[in-house]
Amino acid sequence: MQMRTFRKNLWRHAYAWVLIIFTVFPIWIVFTSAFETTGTLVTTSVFPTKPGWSNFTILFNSPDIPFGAWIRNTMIVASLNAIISVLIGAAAAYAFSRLKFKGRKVGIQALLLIQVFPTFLALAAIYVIMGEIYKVFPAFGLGSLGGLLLVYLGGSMGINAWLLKGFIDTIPAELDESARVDGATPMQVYWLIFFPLSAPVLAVVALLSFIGSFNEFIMASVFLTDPQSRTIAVGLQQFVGGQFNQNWGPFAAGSLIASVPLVILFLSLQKFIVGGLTAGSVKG
Amino acid sequence: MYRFVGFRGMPAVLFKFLVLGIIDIVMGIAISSAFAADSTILAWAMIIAIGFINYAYIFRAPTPVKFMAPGIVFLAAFVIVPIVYTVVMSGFKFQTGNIITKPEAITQVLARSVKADPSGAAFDITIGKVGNEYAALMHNQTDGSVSLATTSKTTLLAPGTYTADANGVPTAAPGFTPLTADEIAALGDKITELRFPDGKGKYVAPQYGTLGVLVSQDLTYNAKTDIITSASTGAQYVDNGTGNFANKSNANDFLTPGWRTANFPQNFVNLVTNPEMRDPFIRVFIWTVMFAFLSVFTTFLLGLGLALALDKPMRGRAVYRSILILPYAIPSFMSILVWRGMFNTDFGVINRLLTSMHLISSNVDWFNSTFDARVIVILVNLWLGFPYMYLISSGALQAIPSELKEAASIDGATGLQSLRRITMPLLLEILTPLLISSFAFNFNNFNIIYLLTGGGPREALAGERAGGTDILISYAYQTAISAPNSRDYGLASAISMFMFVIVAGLSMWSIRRSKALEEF
Amino acid sequence: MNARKSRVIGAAAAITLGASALLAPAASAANKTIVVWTDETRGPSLTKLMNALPPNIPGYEVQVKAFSALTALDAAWANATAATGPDVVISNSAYASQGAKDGKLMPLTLPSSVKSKFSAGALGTLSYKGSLYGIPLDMDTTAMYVNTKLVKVMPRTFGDMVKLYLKNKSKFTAGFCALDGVWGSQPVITALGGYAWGLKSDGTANIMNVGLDAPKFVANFKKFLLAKNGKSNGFFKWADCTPDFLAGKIPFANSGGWNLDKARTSLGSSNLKIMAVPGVKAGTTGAPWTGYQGAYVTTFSGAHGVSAGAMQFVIQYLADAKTQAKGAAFTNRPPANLDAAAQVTDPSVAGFSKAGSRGVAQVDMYLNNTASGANWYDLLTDMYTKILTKGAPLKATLRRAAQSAQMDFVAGYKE
Repeated sequence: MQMRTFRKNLWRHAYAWVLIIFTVFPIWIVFTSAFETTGTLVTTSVFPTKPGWSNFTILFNSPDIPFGAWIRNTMIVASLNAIISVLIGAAAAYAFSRLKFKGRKVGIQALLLIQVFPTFLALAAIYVIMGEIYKVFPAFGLGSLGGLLLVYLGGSMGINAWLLKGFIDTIPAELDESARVDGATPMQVYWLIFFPLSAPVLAVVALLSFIGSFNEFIMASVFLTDPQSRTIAVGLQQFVGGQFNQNWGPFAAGSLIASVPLVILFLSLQKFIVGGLTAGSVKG
Repeated sequence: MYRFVGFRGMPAVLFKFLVLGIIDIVMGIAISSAFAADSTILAWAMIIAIGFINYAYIFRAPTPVKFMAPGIVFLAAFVIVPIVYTVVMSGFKFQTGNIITKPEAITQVLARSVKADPSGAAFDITIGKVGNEYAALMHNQTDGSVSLATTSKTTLLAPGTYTADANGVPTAAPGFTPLTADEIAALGDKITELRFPDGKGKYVAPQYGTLGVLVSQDLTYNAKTDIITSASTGAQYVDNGTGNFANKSNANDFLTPGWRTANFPQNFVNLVTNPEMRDPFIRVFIWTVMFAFLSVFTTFLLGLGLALALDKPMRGRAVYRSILILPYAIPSFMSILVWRGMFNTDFGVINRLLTSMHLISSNVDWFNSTFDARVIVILVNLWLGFPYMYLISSGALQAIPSELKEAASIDGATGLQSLRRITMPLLLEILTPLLISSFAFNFNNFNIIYLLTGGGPREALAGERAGGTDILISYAYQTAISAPNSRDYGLASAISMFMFVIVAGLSMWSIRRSKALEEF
Repeated sequence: MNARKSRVIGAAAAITLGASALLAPAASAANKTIVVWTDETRGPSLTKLMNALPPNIPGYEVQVKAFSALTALDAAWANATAATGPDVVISNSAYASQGAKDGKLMPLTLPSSVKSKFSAGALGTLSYKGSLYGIPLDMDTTAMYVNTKLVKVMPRTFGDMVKLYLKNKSKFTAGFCALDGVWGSQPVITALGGYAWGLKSDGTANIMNVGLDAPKFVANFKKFLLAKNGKSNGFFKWADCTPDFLAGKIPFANSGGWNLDKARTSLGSSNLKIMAVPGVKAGTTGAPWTGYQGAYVTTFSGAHGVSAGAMQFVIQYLADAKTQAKGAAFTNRPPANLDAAAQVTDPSVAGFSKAGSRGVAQVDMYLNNTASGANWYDLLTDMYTKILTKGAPLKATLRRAAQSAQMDFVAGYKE
């Protein structure tokens, strides 16, 4: 019986396996390269020929690679951005989703348009603005993590509000409506009823936002000039750029370290994330 | 019935004002430091922002405003202002040689016409005062003569009438009070603005506190007529309307630097008419559309197939699923760099593998052929993108009412028929908005191009300005930012505008089409 | 107290607090700071230099910001504004014309006592339209690194090197590596009889004579760099070969002083010799580019109110013979100040100095022009790729490159 189902599902398994090989191939290469200690090139062997930790040692001990600082910077900027932008974005999204007001439709359309504008093409303009800020508050201007955070916040506001609106639309409105009947103001309903209720959803959007700024490369590369203040994306790119042969091992090790927490987080929150992705589509 | 109890009344109001008060204090300090730093624009921007916030939370503003106030402030400062700036810049000649503003350009044109005297005469100087007038004791490095100069006249001092240090540099003279080191430091750049005329049309200009150089100034600017005149040739330079002062009688003789100046719609016209810009632009545009379409098409095909394959409960499905969404979970910039390393000519695993399988005899330089590079870009994007398509497809599949499929099977439709007639149309209906936004995303997918191929390969010998895999956004980036000696922010802004119109149009169209707005 | 009243009081309190903060005095700095931008090779050596020999500019402090790579410095410099830009920038000679055009650099007026310490060529490469924009610090030039572990007899001709490589092809991954990419491949081109431009009788560039398709060069290119199949014989590499040279798998390389410490560490000081790239005939040598690193005072320094201090730092400190002589110990580059150059004793630096003395002055306005669609360096990259890896017809490709280069040079000249 079991065998028969398996045979019936054979094409499904085969399809999945082909894709798994495709998926795992580069990941496996990163694994073997990270633990390879022969010090040279990418090998074609399936397992490291001389496995060891030397690449990781290089990563953390080389003065040219302040890897620890990169991780710290990335964590600070990405998590602050995730939290603040979700806090601010959720309020706006709630207003769009629940409140009826004039200009709501126009507002949504404007939000939609703004978030498709490739922000980084306005780089020259952002540069001017951040330059002005730098004059007065160096900690939030050009070249600072604070400045990068401000830019990220502005950039992620539109997309997060948009995403959150999709989420909030799927949360039944009965609860907050009953509270409204009880005489609570919309602000109170938002903070005391809606917010605790939707915390898991907000966490997922925060995670997506976190991944977004984790991946962001171009703003960070133009903004952050000091090696100590780089994010992982910029640090690893500059480190490996052009010198694939020489720095491949430590690069692979760094990629591994940086990816593992994200992957674990992602896999454990899989259900919520998938729910979020499809929320917009299903109602369409 | 549920009774609402909560944080309300006095404590809530007090809490609100406490938070608001703290924000006001912080912003107040910020605004005052902005004024102190002469950054008036920033100060006023902050005043407007804080005013808006205060209005929203104190003066019974409409509820939606309260909800959106902080978001609006951020969006305005870091998204809307830059967008407006970009729109404005697309109407400007704003490129290498025309970067600064006109007043800055005038200052610099004049500064550049200050030329050292051919004699190269230089002076060790001691800055001080005679009465209330700035003065300098000057030691001519060439002939050793010493003079006392004020900003109106210079007198030669006879030896013995002044005190000098071991190097012969005068330090004191009757009627002359030297400035202390602190006073000189406090004077800062004002020192370089001092002029000590030598009485023959030239003057000694201090370069810093202890060095003066004999110079002459050739150009003078008349603010009333907006004309720059050369003393040596008598030539008059006027604003030529394209961001430079040009010789009245010879348009090709212009002064540098120039300034950025409005030239709407020249950048757009250039994009359409100048073959040097138009041809690469068209080529890049076509590839951009191809790239975005192929990316969506291939990822969707693969992802949908996977969703259909894993649609039924089967052994190992959870494991498959966890592995197959890995590309979506791994930071994409890393995956792209890894792929680039894998395709490296000399060290990449792909070449090694193909060699060991005897499929190639020598290493292939993948990124050096436009066709290969494009295939690789699509392939890597497929790897990165199919899990997303799988996730949304399987979500959509579950949303299709199972009654529909059952009804179809009762009607005797085979699996494939029901897939084609029922499932697919419904699926596409549901997913179209997401596919379109995926198209828009890839249209602007800078990271994959920049990190994987850098836009290359470029047939430099054939005079190509854009690389074979450059998409509009990477081309605009190269035009505006990364080209070493011919940056053109104006043109890049024009290209951005073009992209914005396309992407925004697509998004609007998809939203209207899905009638989603009516549901909002 | 009702809610309405408390609202009014609260509002008043919040606004008063904010307004009172407006009156807070802004802090003022004691010493003014001169900010210097430079790249990853220059920054650490400048810091070392300033520790060994403090600049001592009364009322000013000097702060060095080293970018991770020249490209990072380029990007930041391109976007620098008065608010963020440096007061002094130290980089290659291309910054002079570029910065002058954009209005980012201040012209420098030097007393003849300072001017006479530099060669006319050095000052010329840092000038634009007759004004000087930078103080020459040291020579950007290259010489050949020879790994004496692999090379027992020093080559006298280019052919000696190729022969050595072909004999040991199984041991070596290449024969000659241009560590600095196409820029550093210039002495190979010249050693084989090619040239970017010919020289007029007065020593200036004759841009109408581009020598990439000179018959001698075509013949030597074929003879020394190509295999029978028309592709590279594997001897010459201009990209991705640095690690192999440092790992001792390539006998010859070409670079400047900036890679010397790295090479000494990897290969051992005693296994390294610096010499000029030998030409086709014994006694002739290839001519590398000679540019100069410049210290430029920016117009931003005026906006920061430190231009006098920046001028003093550059003219009095960085241009000085004592400073440059000391600096050479940290940079391994031949100093531009002639008095300082005379004091240098390190044989490697002297080797670079010697190779540089036969070099060709690098004119960035020609080389960086993109009138043909690509500048000189991009043209060379494409040319090498086409010929060496793809096996494109040699003569036609070289001719094509020469024509494009000429377009660039002429347009650069007209500027």
